[in-house]
Amino acid sequence: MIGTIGFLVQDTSNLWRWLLSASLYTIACLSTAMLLGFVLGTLGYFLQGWFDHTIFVYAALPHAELALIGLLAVAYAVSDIGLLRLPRPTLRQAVPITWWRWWKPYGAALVYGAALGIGVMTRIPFGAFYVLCAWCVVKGDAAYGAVLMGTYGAARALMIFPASWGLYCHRSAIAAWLSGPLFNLWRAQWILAVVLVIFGTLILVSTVLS
Amino acid sequence: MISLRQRLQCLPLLFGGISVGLLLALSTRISNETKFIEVVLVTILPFLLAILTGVAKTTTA
Repeated sequence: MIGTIGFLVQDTSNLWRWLLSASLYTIACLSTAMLLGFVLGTLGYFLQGWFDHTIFVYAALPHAELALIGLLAVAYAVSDIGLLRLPRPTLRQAVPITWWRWWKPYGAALVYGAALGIGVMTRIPFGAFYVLCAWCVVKGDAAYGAVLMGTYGAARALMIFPASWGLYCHRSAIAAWLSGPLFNLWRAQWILAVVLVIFGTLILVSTVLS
Repeated sequence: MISLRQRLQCLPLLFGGISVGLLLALSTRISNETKFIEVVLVTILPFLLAILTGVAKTTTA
């Protein structure tokens, strides 16, 4: 991912053009991520009323939806290390490379940013993404959803600045750089799995004990 | 390709995570600052998760 995007925002002849395309990418990524959170939060808001009247588990366990999020987080943590298969719905497996060829550099930076900010336009190896989406729905607050997913989008987008600068500095050794520790998928998966399982257990136990 | 052995080697880490989560949850129960700690944890953790997911997704996927 970062190899593609890094090159995309660098496909320019000077610093200002690089800065403009990287900024366009960042703005688009942040905007669509916030939009996703807003939509999920709004969906949750409307679902809450329906849940309150229809789900019988509420009678036995208040805040059952939080317990479900906890279970989901633990399950996706186990799935992230490959010991359990869980659905990981996406709209596409990858953002089409043709977009880059057609619209480069600024148009491509915008559409790549917009597509990647939504999250589901590429393969998702981290279950934490789905847990965050579910968390937005459970919270049922559009503003909170926009801020939470906006944080995800910002973290995702802002990485492009140091990373593309790194690509620029290590242009002669890109292959070695891309296979370095920063780009190790397996390591990232188990680190996120541990954070996810802490989050899940905390939510689950807090809900059950409350 | 990650082998089954490598995957199983991660299980202690997951159990460690479960233990940490359990300890945090129980410590908020017995602490005098229960509400404060609970709010901080439940407020901060999703954002930490969001940052880590965003960084990991960009740098690896």
